[in-house]
Amino acid sequence: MHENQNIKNEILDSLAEGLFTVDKNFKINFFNEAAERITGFKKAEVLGKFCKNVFQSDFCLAECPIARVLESGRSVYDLKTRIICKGAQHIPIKLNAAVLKNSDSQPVGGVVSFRDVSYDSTIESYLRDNTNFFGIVGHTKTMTDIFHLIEEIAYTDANVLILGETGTGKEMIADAIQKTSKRRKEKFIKVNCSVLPPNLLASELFGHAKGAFTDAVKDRIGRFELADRGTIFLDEVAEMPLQMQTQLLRVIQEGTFERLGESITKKVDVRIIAATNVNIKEAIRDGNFREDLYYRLNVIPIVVPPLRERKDDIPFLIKHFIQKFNLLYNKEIKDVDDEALNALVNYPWQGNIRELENTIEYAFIRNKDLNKITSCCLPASIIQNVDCRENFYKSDTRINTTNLIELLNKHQWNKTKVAQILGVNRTTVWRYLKSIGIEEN
Amino acid sequence: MSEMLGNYHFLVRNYSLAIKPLEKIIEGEPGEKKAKKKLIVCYTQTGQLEKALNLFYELIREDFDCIINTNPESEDCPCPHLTKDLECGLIERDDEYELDIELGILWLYCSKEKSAEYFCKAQKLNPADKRISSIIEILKPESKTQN
Repeated sequence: MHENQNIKNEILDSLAEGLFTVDKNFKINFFNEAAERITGFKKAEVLGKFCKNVFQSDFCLAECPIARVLESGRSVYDLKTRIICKGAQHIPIKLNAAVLKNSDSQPVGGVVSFRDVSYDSTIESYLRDNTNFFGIVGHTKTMTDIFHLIEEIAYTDANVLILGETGTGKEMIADAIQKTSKRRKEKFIKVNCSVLPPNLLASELFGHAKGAFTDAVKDRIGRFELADRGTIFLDEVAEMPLQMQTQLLRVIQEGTFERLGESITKKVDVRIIAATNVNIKEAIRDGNFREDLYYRLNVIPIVVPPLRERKDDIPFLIKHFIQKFNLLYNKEIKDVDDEALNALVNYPWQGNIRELENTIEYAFIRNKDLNKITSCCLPASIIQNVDCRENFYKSDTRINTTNLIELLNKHQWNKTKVAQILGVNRTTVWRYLKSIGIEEN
Repeated sequence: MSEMLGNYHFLVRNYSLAIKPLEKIIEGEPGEKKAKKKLIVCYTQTGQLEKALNLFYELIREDFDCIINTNPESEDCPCPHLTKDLECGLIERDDEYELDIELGILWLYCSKEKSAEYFCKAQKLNPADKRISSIIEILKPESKTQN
């Protein structure tokens, strides 16, 4: 039993990803070596401690990934956030979280794996310099029209409302608006209105005074105050509770608000960029969104088209993501083959660019030998009626029967040697020979 | 609603959200003292003092030590902060009797003497409540602690 546990710990210690587990009280009970390396904390310092006291990050209170899994029943993948390491250094991470259950399916703990994505930020800046418009890839008319509009509004302070389905890149549009605006050197504060519970959202946006509520042990500045003279991005604005919408309307109209638990009126000068993926007209009709707030936010509306309406951009986006993942995974994939491209262009992409990006990453992980993404590397939901066994050999242009037999003859049928020359696995050569009726011996 | 989710809301001091899962635990396991300890704090911080007092009274009669032996650090107990905030008026309460009861309850997680002090003050304001007299009896210095 004890030996088994040691083996498990050794396996977990061998991972490149940081990993820790907590018990049902949120006390850390396992911390692997990569977690030590990334955070700077030693196992002995953290074991038995509450995770919130170790990482001391805002997200522990508002967006704890394990709590999110407990509430939604779904594991969390690739959540981007920041943690505070030993020495107060903040590092960007991407994490996965899941809940550990006992034999009665009752949660008894949680597991979080994470990786330092500081290097990803370097990649992002490289890719941003190699895209059309502040990291956005778009050659279709609808996209270039949006780019022109962003340039046209660079000298105004008017509020912007970005509408578009989930995964269409609304946040990137907001980034581009801020970067081209005259407020580009001032603060740019982002708030996701759907992440925080209503009671925390008010404190988050407007701040609170010491003693405003239990645990408000000191004054806290809100996001609006923090963004003074700059820009605030209110993502998922339609998820904001109606009471908060009234307060937001007042900030837009008068630039004033009060911190929770304080009667002093504060005045700020903040430009608002808001975004939503819900049908806002419908939300107004259903009484979930204030019409007057909509008109105040919608001074400059930008509608980001879904990917299925800008299919011509798909090949460019694929190329962009191939470049990105080549850097990330240290591969040299050049392209996608025609069949895969055809499948990718014709897929409806309900999750839009985010789904396409995930798909290309999936293909990168599946692709072991080739310098091209073939349709068989894609998820089954995208390719249909493709015989991947047969297709695999057809699509590998490095192998054809005449060349292969010539090479095998030349090297006394040493398949390992021939595989090396072709840049494929030995088993690939063996399977190809089998597929054309030449068996071993 | 899992026990773990109750623990999480308690850890981040979201007392109103912690109540339901903690109540569920006690419903399934009436002897679950750790959940009761947390639930008492949650009740005091959500304006349900009567519920807090009843549960507190029940628990100290059952196992006095389980509250007095609280380790604020390893149990992440908010009582040291709460008592401080209540005493210096950072958290305001309108009713003096209720404030004494609340402080009496919360102080027991940190100091038996201070707790007794507040229950005595509460008793002077409302001598009719038999629960308070009984609590003071249990808190008397000569009272034996249970194990």
